[in-house]
Amino acid sequence: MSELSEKVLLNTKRFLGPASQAFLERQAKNHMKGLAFNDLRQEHLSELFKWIHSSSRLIIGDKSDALLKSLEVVFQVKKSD
Amino acid sequence: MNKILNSLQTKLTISFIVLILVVSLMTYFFTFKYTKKGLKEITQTELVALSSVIASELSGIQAEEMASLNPGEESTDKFKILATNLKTLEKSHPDIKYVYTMKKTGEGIFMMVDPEYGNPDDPGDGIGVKYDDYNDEMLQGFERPSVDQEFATDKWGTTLSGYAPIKDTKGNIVGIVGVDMSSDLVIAKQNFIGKTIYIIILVSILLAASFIFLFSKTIIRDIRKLNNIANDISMGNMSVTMDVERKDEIGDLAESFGRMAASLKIMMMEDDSLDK
Repeated sequence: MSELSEKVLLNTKRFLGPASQAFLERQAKNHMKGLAFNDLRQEHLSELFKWIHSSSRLIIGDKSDALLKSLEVVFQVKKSD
Repeated sequence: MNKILNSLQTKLTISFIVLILVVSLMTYFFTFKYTKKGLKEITQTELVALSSVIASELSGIQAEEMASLNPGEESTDKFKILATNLKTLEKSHPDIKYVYTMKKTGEGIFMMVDPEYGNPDDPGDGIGVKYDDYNDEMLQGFERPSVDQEFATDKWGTTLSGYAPIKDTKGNIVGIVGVDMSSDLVIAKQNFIGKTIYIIILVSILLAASFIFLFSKTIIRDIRKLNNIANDISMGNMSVTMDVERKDEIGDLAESFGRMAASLKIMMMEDDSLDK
């Protein structure tokens, strides 16, 4: 797994627990044209975070906002429009 | 009823109340014991000082005149003047109950001047009436200032007394002056302190119990929430959300629990439902 993917996984685990990897792999594959989560690059982050935010809302409710904010702060990604 | 008795909140509240009660009662008894002792010591010191001062007032000509009085001379001007002087000294301090003089012979201890003599409400003894209720402290008073170690009871009531020798113009000890302080006064002071400590402890227990009750209530409320969420998930209801926000250990537990629940949801929910 790339360093960037591992970093995203580590931050997501704080909110979604041990199933985060499966969750992230699914987001990348289904919403980013079959992208493998392990091949994640800096330019994918903004789009991925948008999908993490909306999908995690179904699981953790309003805490998905905190998850997005945490990711945006760590990776210094501007909020997507 | 059993549920209430077995609840963590009841156990926590009762445990803390018992703890506070034990600490408070121990504090109460120790504080009260030493305060009582201290108060008695202060009174004893005061009595020694008072009897010494009064003895020095009486020493000299007055002491000689007292020593020269014979039984049956209670109606003489000399006795009346001496009795009035003692009465004046008695009234000089609000806590003094009696001031009197006594002398010692080989046959025992005898009254010299008791200003209450002739008082129909509180009759004192006449000149030369033998006093049998003396104690070691009174005997010491014929040599140096002394004070009762414990309250003493005689026909005039229960008192704490101080004694000091009175001397004639040549410096010879001719008797003692006794200064009595009523036990009621000392006991009233002790009781006042006891009651004050009691009230302070009672108010503290009530305040602490209320605080503990409210504090435990918030803890139990959040534990119940966690319990309900766990129950829902265990019954297959995955739509629950973690709404326990605390910055303490319960908050940490809720956070861990939330992660576990989220992972369970991810694993249990269909891919499609997540991807919608």
